[in-house]
Amino acid sequence: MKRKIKRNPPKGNRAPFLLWSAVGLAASAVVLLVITAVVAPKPPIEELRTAAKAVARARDAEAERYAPTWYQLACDNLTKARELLAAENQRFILARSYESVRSAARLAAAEADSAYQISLRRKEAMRAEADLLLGRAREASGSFREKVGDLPVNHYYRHQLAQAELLAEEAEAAFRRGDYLTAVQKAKRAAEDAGKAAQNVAEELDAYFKNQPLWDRWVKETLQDAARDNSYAILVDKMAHTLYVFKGQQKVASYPVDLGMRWLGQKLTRGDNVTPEGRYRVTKKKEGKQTKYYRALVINYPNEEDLARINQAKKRGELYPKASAGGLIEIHGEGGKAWDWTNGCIALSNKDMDAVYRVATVGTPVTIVGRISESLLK
Amino acid sequence: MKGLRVVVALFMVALLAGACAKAPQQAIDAAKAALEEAKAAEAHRYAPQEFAAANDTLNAALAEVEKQNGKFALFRSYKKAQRMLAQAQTLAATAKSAAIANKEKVKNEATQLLQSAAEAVANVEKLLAKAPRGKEGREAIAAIKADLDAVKSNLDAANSAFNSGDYLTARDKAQASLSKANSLAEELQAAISKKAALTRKAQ
Repeated sequence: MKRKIKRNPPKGNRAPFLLWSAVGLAASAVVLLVITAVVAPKPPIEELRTAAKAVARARDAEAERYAPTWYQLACDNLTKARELLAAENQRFILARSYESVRSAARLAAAEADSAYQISLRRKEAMRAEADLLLGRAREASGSFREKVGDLPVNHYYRHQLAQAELLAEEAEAAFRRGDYLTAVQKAKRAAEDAGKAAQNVAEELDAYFKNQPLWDRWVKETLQDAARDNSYAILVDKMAHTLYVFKGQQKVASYPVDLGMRWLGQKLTRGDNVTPEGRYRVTKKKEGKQTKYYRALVINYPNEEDLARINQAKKRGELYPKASAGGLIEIHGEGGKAWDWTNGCIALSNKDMDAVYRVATVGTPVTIVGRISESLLK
Repeated sequence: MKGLRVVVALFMVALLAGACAKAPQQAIDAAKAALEEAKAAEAHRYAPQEFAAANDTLNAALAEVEKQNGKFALFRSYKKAQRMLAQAQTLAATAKSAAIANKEKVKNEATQLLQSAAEAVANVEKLLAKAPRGKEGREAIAAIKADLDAVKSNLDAANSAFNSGDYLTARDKAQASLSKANSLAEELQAAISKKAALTRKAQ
C-alpha cells in the first residue's frame, strides 16, 4: 500500500526568490557604491598637506616676523582652502567640486614658499644690519667718551648717551639669542641716539675751541705786557688744568688746579659754576680770616668785556634780563683735590698757593683761557 | 542558503555601521580647547617649538577629518583622525606645561636680575655717597649721576614689564641695567681710588 506523502505548501517557493532579490539588491548597491567612489571627485588632501607643510616651514623660519605680508596671505589662503573643503564636503558626493580648494591650497603653498624665502633673506640681512648698527652705536659711544672724558659737557648729552648704551645692551642680548628684528630696532635707536649725543658734544666742543685764536691773542698780549717790565704774569689753561707763572716771557712755574664744576665754556651768570675766561688782574690778596680757602687772590671778574658779552646774551634772550654776572672769582687754596669742585674759582693746593701768593701782587695780570697753544708756552 | 543569509545580514550590519560613522567632534573640540589653553599660557612665546608641534598635529588631524568627510559615507573612518586629535591634545598639554615651566624660569631669571640690578644701583648710590661731601667732586660725579638716572629709568621700565607679566622684556632690560650699573660702579670706584691715592700722596 502506497503511503501518501504530504508535501509542503507552495509558500516555501517564495523564500529563495526574496533572498536572491536581496542579494541582487545588495550587489547592485555595492556596484553603485564602487562606481560612486570611483567617479566622485577626490578632495585635494595632498595639496592641502603640502600647503600646511609650507606654512609650517615658513612659520619655523619666523616668516610671521620677517615676511609678515606673505605669511599672512599664506595663512589666509590655507584657512580658506580648509573652509572651502569643509563646505564642499557638506554637499552631495557627486555634486562636489574641489577646484577652488585646490586653487587656494596651491596659492597658500606658493605664498608660504615666498614667505619662507623672504624670511631667510631678511633675517640674514637683519643680522648683518644689527651687527652694523651695533658697531655704529659702539663707535658713537666710544667717540663720545673719548672726546668728552671728564669734561663737564651738557648733562643732557651724557643722559642721551647712557640711554643709547642701555639700548645697545638690549640690542646685543636680542642679537645673541637670534632675535635680529628686535636687535635691529633697538640697535637703530641706540646708534641714532649715541650718534646724536656724540654729534652734539662734538659741536659743543668745536664751538668752544673756535675761541682758540682769541685765547692765543690774550696769552700773547699778556706775555708781551709782562716782558715789557719783566713782571710776573699768571696764565691758566683750563683744558690742561694748569696754572703757569711767567716772569717776563719766561715760564718759571706750573701748578695743577681744580676749576669750577662746569668749567667748560664762558661764564655768563652767577651760580653757573663756570670758571670765567678773559684777561684779568689781581685786585686783592686775602689770607687768614679773610678767606676760608687758606689764601686767595681776587680777580676783577666781571670785567668790561664780560659785562658786554652778558648784556648781548640778555639782548638775544639767552639770559633773563635780571641775571647777574656773579663775582668774587679767586685763585685760592684748599685745592689739589683732583676734582673740579669750585663755583668758578681756581683752586691750588695750599703749598702751591703759597708759591703763587708770594709772587703775585695787586695788579698782576691773570689770563684764563680754554687752552694755551703749545707754541706759546715754549 | 543559510550562509547566504549570514552574508546579507553582515552586509546590512556593515552598511548601518558605516552609515553611522561621524566626525569626532568631541575630540576636535577637546584638541582645539587644549591648544587654546596652551596659547593662553603663552606657549607661543615661552614654548614656541612645542606649541608649533601641537598646532601642526591639530591641523593635520583636521585635514584627516576632512579627508574622511570627502569620502562616501559608507567608506569613512575617523580612527586615524581620532588618534591624531588625541596626539594634538597631548602635545598641546605638553606645550602648556613647557610654557608654564619656561615662563616660571624666565620669571625667576628676571626676578634675580631685577634684584641684582637694584643692588647694583644701590651700590652706585652708596659709592656716590662716599664721594667728598659738600660741593667737592659734585661735577665729577654728576656725569655718573646722569648715567645712573638713565639706568634707573630703564630699571623702572623693566619692573613695569615684569609687573605686566612680560618677563622676557623685563629680563632683557634688567640685564642691561645691571651691566650698566656695574660699569658705573667700576668707574666711580676708580675715581674714588684716584682721589684717595692723591690724598695719600699729598700727606
